[in-house]
Amino acid sequence: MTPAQQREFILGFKGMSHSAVTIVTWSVVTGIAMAKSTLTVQQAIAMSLLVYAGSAQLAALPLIAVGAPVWVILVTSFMVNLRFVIFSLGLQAHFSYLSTWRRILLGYFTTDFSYLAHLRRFPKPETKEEIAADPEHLRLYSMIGFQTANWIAWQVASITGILLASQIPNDWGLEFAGAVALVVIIGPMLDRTSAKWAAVTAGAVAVMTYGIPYRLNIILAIGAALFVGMILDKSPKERIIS
Amino acid sequence: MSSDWNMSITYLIIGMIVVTFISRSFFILLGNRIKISEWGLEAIRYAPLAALIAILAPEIFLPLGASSVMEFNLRLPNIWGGIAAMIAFYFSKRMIPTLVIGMAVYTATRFWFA
Repeated sequence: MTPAQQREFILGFKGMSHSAVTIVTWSVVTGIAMAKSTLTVQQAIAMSLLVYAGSAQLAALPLIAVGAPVWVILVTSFMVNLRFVIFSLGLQAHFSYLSTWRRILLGYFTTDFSYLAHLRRFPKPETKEEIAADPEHLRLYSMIGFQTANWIAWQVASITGILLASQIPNDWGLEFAGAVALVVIIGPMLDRTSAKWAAVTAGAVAVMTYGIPYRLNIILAIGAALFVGMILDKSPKERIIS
Repeated sequence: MSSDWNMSITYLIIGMIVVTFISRSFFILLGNRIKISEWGLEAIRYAPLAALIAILAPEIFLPLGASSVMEFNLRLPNIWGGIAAMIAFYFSKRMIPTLVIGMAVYTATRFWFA
């Protein structure tokens, strides 16, 4: 790294400290929920280090516990992760100059926190002239700083949560923390009438059809909720990406 | 745990790693080559909510390992812990109070109904 790149990296790294408390809280709770699920400690740590997607992990645990087929869990994880597809659309113009593998890595490490931090600092992508005038790619190093701090905070807290919870007896009922965390993730999404009806539909269908094989009730519920949400949605279409 | 079960967890973790890569680098990688339709964008808005609720609702309203909706009953601690968490989130909008109240009610009803 050149001195200027190093400066940007450190700036990004320190910038993440505003979110440190939130990251650590989420991460510890995710770690606890994983350790109290049907996963072994090794599997929980592997999932934390490699999957690195908290809400998808929390969503996968109940499905693993009831023995849902791998493909149903993967489809569900992808649905939960669809917000990242929107983020990647927002970042595309910022980093289109990078090589393919660097774009893949940059995407992999972009969480909710680093995405929001980057867009707060750089609301607009650089123009061609600005990119040409910035051979050190300083914005990239600020982003790598955000991502590195985020990754370290998440993994340290997550693995701490896994190891602590694995020492606590199972009959304390700590696994329920995963369900409560899902309540907190879902809450802010219920900001429109159409979203509330979509949620009611998903919940009702998932519970009513619980007995059908292969946990296909999840897939049915997602389909029904998408249908209801999209029919009731009356908001102006151009606001979708904001 | 059986080795079959451990094997499928290994496949699952590998699959979830791929899902993280695909979803997070989707448009950074594809760039302008794919234009997403309005219909698609709208579906993307509702899909995460739908998936999370579809997982959470049976977690809260049915016993672990239930085979159908017939096993619903009001003596389940998850129902009361879940409802308490929802009320706590509605008023606090924050993680810690929601977690504390949800877990407290869950634990209390677990002993109450035991």
